[in-house]
Amino acid sequence: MKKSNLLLIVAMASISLQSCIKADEQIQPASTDTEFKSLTVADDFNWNTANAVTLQITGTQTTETVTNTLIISSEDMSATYYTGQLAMDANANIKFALPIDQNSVLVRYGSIQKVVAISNKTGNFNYLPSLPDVE
Amino acid sequence: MKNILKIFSSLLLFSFAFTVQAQTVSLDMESGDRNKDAANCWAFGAIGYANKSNYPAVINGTYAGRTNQLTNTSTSACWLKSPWFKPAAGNITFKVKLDGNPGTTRGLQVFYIPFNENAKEDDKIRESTPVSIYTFSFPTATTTTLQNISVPVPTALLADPNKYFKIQISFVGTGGTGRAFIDDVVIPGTYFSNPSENCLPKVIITDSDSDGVKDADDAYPNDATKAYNNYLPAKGYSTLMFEDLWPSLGDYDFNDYVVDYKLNRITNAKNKVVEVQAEFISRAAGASRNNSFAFSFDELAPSKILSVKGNSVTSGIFSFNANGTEAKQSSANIVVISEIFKVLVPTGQGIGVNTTLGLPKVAPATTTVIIAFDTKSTTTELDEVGLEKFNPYLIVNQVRGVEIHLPNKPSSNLVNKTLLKTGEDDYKEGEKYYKSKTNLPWALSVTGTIPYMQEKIDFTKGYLKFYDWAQSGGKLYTDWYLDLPSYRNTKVLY
Repeated sequence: MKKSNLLLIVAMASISLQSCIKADEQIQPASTDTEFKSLTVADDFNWNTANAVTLQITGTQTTETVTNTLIISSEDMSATYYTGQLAMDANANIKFALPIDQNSVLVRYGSIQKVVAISNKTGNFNYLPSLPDVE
Repeated sequence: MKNILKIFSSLLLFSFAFTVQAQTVSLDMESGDRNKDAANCWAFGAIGYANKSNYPAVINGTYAGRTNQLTNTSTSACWLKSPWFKPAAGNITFKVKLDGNPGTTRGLQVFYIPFNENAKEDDKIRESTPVSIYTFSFPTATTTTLQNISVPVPTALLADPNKYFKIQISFVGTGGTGRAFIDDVVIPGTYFSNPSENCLPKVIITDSDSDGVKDADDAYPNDATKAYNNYLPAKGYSTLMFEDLWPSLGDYDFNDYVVDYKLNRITNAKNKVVEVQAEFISRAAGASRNNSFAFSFDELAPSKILSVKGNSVTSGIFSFNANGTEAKQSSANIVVISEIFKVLVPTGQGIGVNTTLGLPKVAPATTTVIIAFDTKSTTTELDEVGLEKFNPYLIVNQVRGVEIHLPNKPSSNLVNKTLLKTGEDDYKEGEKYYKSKTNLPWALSVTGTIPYMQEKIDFTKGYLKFYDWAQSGGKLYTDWYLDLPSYRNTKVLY
C-alpha cells in the first residue's frame, strides 16, 4: 500500500514537472539554435519592416485643368502614406513607405476612390471609371 | 491706305479670335475608350464605342457611339448625357445613323436637365427631371442615311448665366434588332463639371491662403508656404534599436540605444518640402558608452536646408555649418543628440538606462528637431527626405569616426574608413554596408513602437516569429513585430 502511494506521488510529481517544462517551452522558441547569431540570411535581405513602394499614376486628358488632393492611405484610412496636390492629366510616380505586411492601399482623389494592389513594391492607378460592358 | 489695312487686319484678327474663343462642349468618341470620356463626365446608358474596323457604318473618324438594340420606348433605357455646362446661344448638333438591321420604329429625343438646387448633400447626381426639347423619328427603321441633327438651345436656358444644365440624347424604338450610331456631339456653352468631385458642377472653393489647396484639404489653411503633412511612418512612431559594438558582434539584445522616431515632412501646394519636424523619443540606452545619435538625408545637399533647431548638442566632437547641418558632409547630416547620457541620465545602477527590470526607470526623453528648407527657392521633393534616404545612425562613445547604421545604409563622409571591413563587418563599397559576413545587422528599424529586450537577452527570445521571418528572407511572418497571440514573450521584454 505504502509502495503504491509512493509510486503515485512520484508519477504525479513527474507529470506536474513535465507540465511546467511544457508551459515554458510554449513561450520559448523551439530550440536554442534560433538565436540571432545563428541566423543565415540571403545577401539581398534588407531587414526592413517597411518598403519604399512606388505608385505609378497614369493621368487622363481632361477637358479643363483639374487639380485636387491625392491621398494614399491604408484601406481603413488609419494610416496616410502620402498627401499631395496633383493635376488629373499628369503622370506621376509617387514613392511612399509601406509596412511589409500591407499589400494594398486606398487612393483617393476627390470623389474618385480605388483600392490598388501593391506587388513587387509597385502599384498602378488611373482615374478612369470601369463602365459596365454593353451588349 | 496702310492704316486702313492695319485696322482691317485688326478687325479680322479680333473676329477670328472671337470665333476661336466661342465655347462648346463636344464629344467625338475618338478617344476610343468610353471610360476616358466618362472620366470627363460624359455618361452612357446602353451605348458603347464602335471601331470602324469592326463597324464600317461608323459615322466619322475611327470611333462612334453604338447603341444597344433599340427595342424600348422608354427614354431612360438608352441614352447619352453631357457634363454640366453653362449654355450659350446656338444649336446643339450631332450626327446619327441606323445600322440598317430590322426594326419597326426608331427615333430619338433630346432633353435638357436642370441642376437640382434642392438636392441633398449626399446626392451624387443632383439632376432635376429632364425636359424634352426635340423629338426625331427616322423615316424608316432600316434606313442608313446619315441624319445631321440640329436643335436650338432653348432661350429659357440662357436667361440666367449662372445656371447650368446637362443635355441628354435618348434613343427609342420598337421591334427588330437594329441599332443606332451617334457621333460629333457639339453643345454651345462652357464646360462646368468637376471630374474629381462626382462630376458635380464646379463650385468656388474656400482657399484662405490662396495657395491653390482648398481649406478642407490644407493642413495649414492660413499659411501659403505650407499645405500638407506627410508623416514617416504614416501612423505613430517607428522604433530604432542599436547594438554598439561594431565592428564586433554584440549580444543582439538591440537595446544599446532604443529610440522612437516620427518625421513630419511638410510640403507646400507644389509638393515641395518646406520643413521637416523630426521627433525622437529616447527610451533606453543599455550601454556603458556615452553614444551620440544623428541622421542624414542621403544625397540631399546641405545647402538646401535653411536652419536646424531643437537638437541637443552638448559635446564638442561635432562641427557645424551656419545652417546647423554637420560640416564637411556632402549629404545633409543632422546631429540629434550629441550625448545620449545627457538626455537619458543613468541612475548609476545596472548597465545604462532602462534595460533592467527592477532598477529605477528614467522617463523617455523627447527631442524635436525642426529642419527648415528655403521656402523661396526650395526644390526638395518628398522622396529626398523619404524612407530610402533617411539614414539614422549611432556615433560610438564620442569618437566621431565610429558610426553604426542600419543594414545597407552607407556611412557619412566622417566615418573612419579604416574601421570598415574590420572585425565582423563585411563592408563592400556601393554594395554592402553594416552587415556581418552572415548578413547580420547592428541596428533594426521597426514600424510602430515596440517593446525592446531586457538586458543581455537575445532579440529572438522576445519576438518569437522574428527568426523565421529573417531566415525565410522576409517571406514568413511579415507581421512578426505586431502584438499578436504567440508572437511575443513579454516576460523578456522591457
